[in-house]
Amino acid sequence: MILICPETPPTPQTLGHSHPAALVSIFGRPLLEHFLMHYADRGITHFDVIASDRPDAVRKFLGNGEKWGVTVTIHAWKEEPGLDKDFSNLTKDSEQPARVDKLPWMNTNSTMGSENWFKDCLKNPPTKNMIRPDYVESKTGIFIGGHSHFPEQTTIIPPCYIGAQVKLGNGCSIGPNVIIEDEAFLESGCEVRESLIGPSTYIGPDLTIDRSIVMHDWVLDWSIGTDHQISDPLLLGNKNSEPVANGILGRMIALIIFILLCPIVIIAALASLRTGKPVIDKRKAVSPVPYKKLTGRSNINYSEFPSLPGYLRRYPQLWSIIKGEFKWVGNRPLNEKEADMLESEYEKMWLDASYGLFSLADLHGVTGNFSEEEKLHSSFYAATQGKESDKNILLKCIFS
Amino acid sequence: MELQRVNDTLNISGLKQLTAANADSFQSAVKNQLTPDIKNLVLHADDIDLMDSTGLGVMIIIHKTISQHEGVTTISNPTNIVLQLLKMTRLNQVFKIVTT
Repeated sequence: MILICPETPPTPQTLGHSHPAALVSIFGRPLLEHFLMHYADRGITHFDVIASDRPDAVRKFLGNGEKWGVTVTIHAWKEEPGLDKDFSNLTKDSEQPARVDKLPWMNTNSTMGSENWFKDCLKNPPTKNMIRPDYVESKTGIFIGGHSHFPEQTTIIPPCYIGAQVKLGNGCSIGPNVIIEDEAFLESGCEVRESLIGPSTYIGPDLTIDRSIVMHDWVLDWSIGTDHQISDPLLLGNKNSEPVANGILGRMIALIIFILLCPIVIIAALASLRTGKPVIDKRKAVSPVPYKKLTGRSNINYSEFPSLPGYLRRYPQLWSIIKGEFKWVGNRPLNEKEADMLESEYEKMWLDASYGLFSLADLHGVTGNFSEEEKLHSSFYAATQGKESDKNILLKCIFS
Repeated sequence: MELQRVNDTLNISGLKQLTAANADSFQSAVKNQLTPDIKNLVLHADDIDLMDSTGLGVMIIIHKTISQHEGVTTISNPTNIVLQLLKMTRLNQVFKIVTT
């Protein structure tokens, strides 16, 4: 069978900005996967997938089709073909080609990404044998994926489909007619109605999403007629964005600055003679989640110059950046006692971000005393970290 | 940016963006004009193509001053990006929105 992956445009940018439109996730699976499963269930064993938009991403997703018990051949074409094109040179298969722009069982002419398209998706959810196994119908019309937990004050009005590992803050109101994909994070007080929220999308506190599709920091709003990016990490974002300068370049810059500023070591030694404090204070922090996943280590050792003021005392942590244990921007390190004192799920998010030389809490002048404000800013940072916000934090910490 | 006083209303026009980059200067410029005889404020948002939460925050601060004089803060002809932000943050219920 031939499957044709749509191009962006004409598919809205909100749906196609970070991956091909055929990989848009709805009801917990990319559209392309819904097609494979639906037609494999009907005896189709081989798919010819035509992708003109980011064919490598489609190739990476499909592999050899083994996951679905089928075989696939990906054809990278320059332009998306029409359904009426002659495909006899590709396949002798008599099955009608299909465009991967809706759920395969939907009988609709709605344009992908339109409000009618979304309403048709909601009217045609996957059947019991096709819905993802972890989706549990907690109440009539409310389906919730694995490891998603919500505070008691959450209001959910059916029909709603909420994916796995979704986090909702206090006082959220969700529904009716809402689909929230995996790992989305909605801050407290959010209201979402008649909308689709994409995977790993962060939505800031007290925001209203109504008659829209939101994918990371892109919004397609049917009532206003917009399809654009909102570049404000306090409002919308990708929960899983990598922080800035954490790769080889960031570590090289740290090495250069470490060498250029090495006279600070002499200053620290002289200052310690004056203050009577040790030259260097060696500390042990619990590993934050990203570092622990990468290395398996439970602790990170780092140091400070206790006799020096301000950021100068953190000079030894440039070495931690060089070693890849710290980043330029992250949360400040926590010792075991402090980590144990993090109580709520939100506070524990402090450790969901890597440690950094500079932090959001530094920007707000609340670092070092493990105050409620520091916990708030650290958890907020972990939830919203992204390249733009890291750049802002870094520049403001250095130049303020 | 142009600030024009017409009777008891301060009109702001010509603004291309209201973000963290210019929010402070915008706020200072507007506050200097908010004398006791100014009751209302109209932001002509026809040309604003970039706005963020800091810009919204400054508008809220200015609106508080206007409200103390029992005046009205109007956003006139907002661009789609401004409308989107106002809708998402529910500030479309705080400011008066006018489209001509």
